[in-house]
Amino acid sequence: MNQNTLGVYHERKTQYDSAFYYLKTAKRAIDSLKSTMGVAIVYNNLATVHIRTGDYSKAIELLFDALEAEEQLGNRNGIGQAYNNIGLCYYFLRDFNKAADYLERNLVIQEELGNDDGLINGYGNVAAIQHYNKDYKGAIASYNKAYAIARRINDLDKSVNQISNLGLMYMELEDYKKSESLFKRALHLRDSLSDDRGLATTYATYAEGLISRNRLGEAKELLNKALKLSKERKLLSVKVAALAGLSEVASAEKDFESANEYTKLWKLTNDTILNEERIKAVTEFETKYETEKKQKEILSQRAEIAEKDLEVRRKNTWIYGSLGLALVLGLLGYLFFNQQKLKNRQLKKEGELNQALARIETQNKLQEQRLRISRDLHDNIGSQLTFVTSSVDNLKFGLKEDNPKVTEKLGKISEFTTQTIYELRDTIWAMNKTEIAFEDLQTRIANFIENAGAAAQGVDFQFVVSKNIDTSVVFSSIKGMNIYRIIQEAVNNALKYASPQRISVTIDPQENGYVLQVKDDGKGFNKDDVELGNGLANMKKRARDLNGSIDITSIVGDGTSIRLQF
Amino acid sequence: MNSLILYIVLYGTLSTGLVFVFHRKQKHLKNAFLERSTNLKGMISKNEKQLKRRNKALNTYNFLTYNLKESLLVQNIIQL
Repeated sequence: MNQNTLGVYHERKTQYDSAFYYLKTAKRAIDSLKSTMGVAIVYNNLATVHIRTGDYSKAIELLFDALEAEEQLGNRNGIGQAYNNIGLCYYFLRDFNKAADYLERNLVIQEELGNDDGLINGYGNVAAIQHYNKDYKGAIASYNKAYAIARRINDLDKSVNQISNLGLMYMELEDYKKSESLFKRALHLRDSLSDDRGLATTYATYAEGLISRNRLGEAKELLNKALKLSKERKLLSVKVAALAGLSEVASAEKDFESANEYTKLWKLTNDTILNEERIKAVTEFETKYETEKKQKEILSQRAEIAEKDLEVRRKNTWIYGSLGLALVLGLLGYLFFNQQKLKNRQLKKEGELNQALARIETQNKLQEQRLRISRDLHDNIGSQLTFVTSSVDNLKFGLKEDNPKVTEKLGKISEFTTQTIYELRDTIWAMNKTEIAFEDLQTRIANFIENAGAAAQGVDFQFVVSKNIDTSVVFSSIKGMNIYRIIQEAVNNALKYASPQRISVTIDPQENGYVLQVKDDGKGFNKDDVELGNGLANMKKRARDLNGSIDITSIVGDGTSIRLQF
Repeated sequence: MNSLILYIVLYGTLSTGLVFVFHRKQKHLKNAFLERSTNLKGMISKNEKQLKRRNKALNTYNFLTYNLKESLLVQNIIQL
């Protein structure tokens, strides 16, 4: 980097050969390192020397390399500088559109960075383009901005540049007084700074103004100074301006020979700068740079697309995975739910079956137990009662002749005991048989009446059950038994005491119950005259057990009616 | 696309496996339940038969002949 510093030093001193030597040495060193670090600085400085010596095509080539290096490093300031210098080259090559484009790019970056040096250069260069476009007021505004910044940072060299340029602008606006004042001030300052390049430029510019005011002598003096300095310092652009000025002065003085000579020299120098081949090379290089840039952009876009594609794939993979997992989890949940549902259904059914089994087992065991007790009751008490009956009958038979009253009494005891046995059997049966269907009861009553009819010849029996009765109704077995025994007792009494021609048994429905009527057309009896026996008492007792009422109606000679409501 | 096929195969296999496992388990549960419920129904049926048999005997009780001894059918051992 010392070589680079020395190169810059010599460039500032307008010792361009030395500057070239040191900067080219620095370039070789930096190229051998194959690193982007420092490349831009060296290239930029070398390009600056080429600009100073008027070799703009070489300068642009180096500047594009510097720009590439700065872009790789992401150095905004460096990029700005490269834009600025490229713009300057185009400016000197008279391609003002490109020059304006690159200078504007630099100005944007410098404003963004707040870089004072860069801004001074930027505004100065933009003003130069405005000058070319004859926007003198715009150019004055830009130069003033640059001047204000240079003053603020106490950069005398740059301040002088702006003063010189402002002098030129006022000259264009034909404000010669102000213009002359500014040029003189600039020349004085440049002289004090030993700025030969600046001095030469200002001489040439100032001389241009003097020519337009026809102060040819003064102009010629200044132009010769400028030409001398440009030759010494190899300032081609200044040399061109000085030769043009001298040619114009010679023409004005009618020294056509000198004018022709200056014109030839001017053309020669100008051609050196504007060499077509150089322009072509510059264009090619720029095209190459732009192509490379576009290729890089394409590659970058491709990489971006590939990255996006990869991202989309990742997202899709994630979505498919999640979706699949959700489906599997959903399926698992459904299967669990289904299995649990089946288990619950089975448990419910099993519970119902267990309950039914427990109920029926209890019922079965209870019935079995009841049957055992019933059997024991029948066997023990029944046999004992049978023994009593048998003993009483034997006793009655033995006392038959001796004591008729005792015999009669014994007969009643025997009959009562027998009745008790029957009652016991009925009770035991009713205890075990929980219910009896109406149809069954009807059949049993019909059988009884049929048997009675067979036993009692000449008696007409009728058994009528109303069609309005619901035959599917079920009675408790005790209730059924009581109904049956009341009918049995009533029919037996009629046959025994009434000598009837006709006996009818009817069952009809009534509100909240039934009406049973046993009617005969026998001889009837007077309730007051007759002592009611056990049979009628039993019927009343059974009617009470049925929660019903019994009504006995009898008319002597017209038969008897027994009406039971239950 | 490849990942989609891979997921389809993976989750498809997993799902099929799950369905198969649950199907077998359900079948086992159903068989076990069928066996248990058949036993219970058999026992209920036996009890019902015994109750019917005794009720049938009780129905033979004639209100005129008082044949209680014949209608009281007692089983010595309840076979359940």
